[in-house]
Amino acid sequence: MLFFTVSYFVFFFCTITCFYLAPVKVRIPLLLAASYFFYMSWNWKFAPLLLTLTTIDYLAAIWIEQSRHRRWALVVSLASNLGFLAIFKYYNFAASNIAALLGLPHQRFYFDIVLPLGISFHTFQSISYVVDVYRGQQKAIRKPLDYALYIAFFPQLVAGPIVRARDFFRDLYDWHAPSSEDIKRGGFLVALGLAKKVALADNFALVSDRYFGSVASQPGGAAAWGAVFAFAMQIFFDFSGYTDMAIGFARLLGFHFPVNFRQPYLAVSMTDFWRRWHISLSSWLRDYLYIPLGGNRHGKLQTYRNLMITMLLGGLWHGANWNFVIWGGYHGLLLSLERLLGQAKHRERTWTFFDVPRAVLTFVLVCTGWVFFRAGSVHDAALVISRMAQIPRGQWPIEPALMMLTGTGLVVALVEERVPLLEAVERAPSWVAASCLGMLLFVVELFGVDANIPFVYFQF
Amino acid sequence: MPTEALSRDTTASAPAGFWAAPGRKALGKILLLGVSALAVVFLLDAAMFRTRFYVRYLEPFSSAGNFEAILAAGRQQEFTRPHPVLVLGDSQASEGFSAQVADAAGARSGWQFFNAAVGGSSMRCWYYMVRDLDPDRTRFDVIVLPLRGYADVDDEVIRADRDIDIHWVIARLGLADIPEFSSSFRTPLKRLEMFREALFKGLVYRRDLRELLRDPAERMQHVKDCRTACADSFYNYPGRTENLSGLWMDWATDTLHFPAGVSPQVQAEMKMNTHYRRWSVRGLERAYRNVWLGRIMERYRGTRTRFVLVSLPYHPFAIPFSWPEGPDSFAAQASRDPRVTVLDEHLFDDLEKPELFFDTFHMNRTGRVLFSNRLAAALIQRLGTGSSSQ
Repeated sequence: MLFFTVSYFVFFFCTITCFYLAPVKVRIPLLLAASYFFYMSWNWKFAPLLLTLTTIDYLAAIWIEQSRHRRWALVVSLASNLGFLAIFKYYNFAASNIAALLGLPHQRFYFDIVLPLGISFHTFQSISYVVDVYRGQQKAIRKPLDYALYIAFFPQLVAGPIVRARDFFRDLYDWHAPSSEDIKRGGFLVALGLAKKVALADNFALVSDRYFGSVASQPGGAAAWGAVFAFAMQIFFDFSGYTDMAIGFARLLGFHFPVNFRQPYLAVSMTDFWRRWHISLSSWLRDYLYIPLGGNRHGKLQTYRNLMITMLLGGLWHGANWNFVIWGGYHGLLLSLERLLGQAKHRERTWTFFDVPRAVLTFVLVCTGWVFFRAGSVHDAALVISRMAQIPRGQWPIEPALMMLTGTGLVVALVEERVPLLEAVERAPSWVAASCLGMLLFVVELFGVDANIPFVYFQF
Repeated sequence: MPTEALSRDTTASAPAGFWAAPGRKALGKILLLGVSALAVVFLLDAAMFRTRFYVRYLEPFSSAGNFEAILAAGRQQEFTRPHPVLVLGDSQASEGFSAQVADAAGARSGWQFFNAAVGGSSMRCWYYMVRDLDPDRTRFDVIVLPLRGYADVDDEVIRADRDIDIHWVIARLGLADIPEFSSSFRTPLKRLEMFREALFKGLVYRRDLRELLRDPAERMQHVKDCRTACADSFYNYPGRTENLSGLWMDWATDTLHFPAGVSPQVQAEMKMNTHYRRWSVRGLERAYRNVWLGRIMERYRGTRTRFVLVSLPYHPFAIPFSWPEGPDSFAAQASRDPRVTVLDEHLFDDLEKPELFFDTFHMNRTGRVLFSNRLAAALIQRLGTGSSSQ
C-alpha cells in the first residue's frame, strides 16, 4: 500500500474513523493492529522479524534500567539490530566482494535475500531508543503495546522520518485530539506530499529512469545534465513528499513528527545542505555516530576522520552498493573541505539573493553526488560525470510544463524561507485551507503520472 | 536532560490524556476538510473540463479529439436528400466505408450517408455519438450498425471491460451519465475507477493537457487548421493505398506469411490478432452488444428510424473456422424487431482478401470503394427508396 494509492486512502480512512470512534481503551491496540496490517500488506513474512526486534529492544531497555549489567543489554540490543540489518541488507554485498577478492564468481556465496521493508528506518529508531535509555535520557517503556506502536506506527514505519522516542511518547502520553490548526496543517501536508510525489517526482522519474536505464546510448551533455537535474528533483520531491504525507497523516491522528526537509536545494554550503536534507537521519547520525566518535572535540584531523566515517556509513546505510559508499565519501570529503576552508559555520541569517551563487554551486555539487546515488554502477556514474563535463549540447529532456511546476516550487521555497507558509495555512479560515488543499489535489489530478512508481526511499 | 515525556511515570497504567480525549469532533473536522477539498477539486475540474473551454483545444487526432471532430462534422452535416443514413462503427468502418462513394451509389434512390465511425471506438462510444448527434431522434432514417459477424464471438478483448472507452467519450459524459457509464463495467474496481475518471475529467484529459502545454501556440494553430479542413477531409478521405497481396496463413501451423514491404509493426499486430483458435462464444460479447446496441435501438423506439445490422469484412483472408450463431445471439434477437434489417452475414465474405486490406483489420482504398458501393446497393435493395419499405 503506497501512500498515494486509493487502497492506502481507504485504509487510512477506515483506520482514522475506527480510531476516533472506538472506545478510548482500544485505541493503542487498534493503531498497532492497523500498523501491522499496513506492514503485512507489503509482505506478511517480515512481521515476525519486526516483532522479534521489537521484543528484543523492549526487553533490553528494561534490562538496562534494572540490571547492573546494563552494558551487556546494550550490546545484545545493538548486536541484534545491526545483525539483522547486516544479514538482510549487507550480506550479499559483503559476499560478492569477498568472492571477487578470492577470484571467485560474484554469485558464489550469494543468497536470495529480500530486504524487509523499512528495516533501515525502524532499526535506527530502535537503536536510538535503547541508546537513549542507556544514556539515561529516556525511561524504558513498560507497556509492550506502547513500545510496539512506537516502532511500527504506520505513517513512519517504512521510510521515516526517524522519530525519537521522547517525541513519540510525549505525544502518546500527553495525547490531545488534533486542533483545527493541526487538522488544516495535516491535511495540507498530505495534499502537498501527494502533489510532490505524483505530480512532480514521478514525472521527473520518467526522465531520469529513461536516461539512467541506458546511459551508454544517450550521449551529450544536455541529456546528462537534464537527467541528473531530473533525478535531483525526483529524489527531493519523492522523499520530501513521502515525509510530508507521513507527518500529515500522523498529525491527523494527533502525533507531531519533526520536520525532515527544509528547502534543501537553497542550501549555501554542504554543511547547510545536511541541516536541511533528511534532517531526522542527519541528526541521528550526528547524535549516535559522529558525536560518540568524538565529533569535533579532538582536533581537526579527528574531526575530518569522524566526518568521513559518519558520511561513509551514512552512504552505506542507504544501500549495499559501492555507489552509495562513494556518494557518502564524496559528501564526507566536501564537508571536511568546507571545515578546512572555514565555510562550515552555522548561519542563522535569512536567505537573500546574494546567496544565489553559493546556492547554485552547492546545488551543482549535490547534483554531482546524486550521479553516484542513481547510476546503476560506478562505471555508469563515471560516464555520466564525464558527459556533464562536456559543453551541453542537444535537447533539454524535461517538458516545459514540468519546468514550470518546478519553477513554481522554487518560488514557493524562496517565500517559505521568509514566511512560514504552513503556519499561514494553519491560521487561515477553513474555507481558505480547503481551497489550498483542493488546488493541490487539482494539480495532482492534472499532472499526476498513471504509473505506480514506488517511493525511492522504500528500497533503503 | 529530562524531556516532557519523562515527566510522566510511564510505568503507570493508562495515560489519562490519551484515554480522556475522545476526539470525535476532530474526525468530523477531518472529514469536512476532505470533502470540502474534493468539492474544490470538482469545481476547478468542472470549470475547466465541463465547459467547452478545454474541449475546443483538444488535439484533433486524439481519441476524444477525433470523436468530437466527427461529432461536430455530423452536427453540421446538412442532409439534402430525403433519406439520411448514419453509419456507426470503429476504424474498420471508418477505413472501410466511404460516405462519398455510397452517396454516389445511392443518389438516385434518395439515400445520403454520414459516416460517424471513429477509429478505436466501441459500441459503448457509439451510443454517446448517436445520442449527441441526434438529440431529437429525428435526423436519420436508417442507422447502420456494423458487427464482426453475428455469432457474438469473444475474441482477445472483453469489450465490456474496455476502460479506455472513456478516452473517446469523455467530453460527452455529463454528471447524469456517470452512474450509467461506470456501472456498465463488470468489476467493482473498474466501476470505481470509471466513476472517479468520469467525475474528475482532468484524470482523462491530463495527457492531452501535457501535450498542449508543450507548445500551446502550435496546438492552437493545429486545432484551427483542422477545424476548417476536418469535415471535408472525413468525407473526401479516399482510404489507404497499401495492400497485403501475397499474405497467406498456413493453417496447419497457424503461421502468417507476409509479403515483402509489410512493416514489422503491422506484422506484430497481425500476429497478435489472429489467434482465431482462442476465439469462442462465452456470452460476454453478446451481453455487451445487448446492452449498448440495445440502448441505441431503445432510444429510437417509436420513431421512424430503422436499423441495419451488417457483418463487416474483418480479416484479410477467409478463415476456416466458424462460430454458430445461436438463436439467442444479438443479431438473431434483433431480427425479431420489425425496425431491424439484418443483412446476410456472408454478404461481403468475398471482400476478405489480402489485396483489399492494408493491415489486420482494415480495408484499403480499393476495398473501401467496393464495400461502400455494395453496402449502399444492399441497403437500397433491402430498404428500397425509403424507410417505409423493407
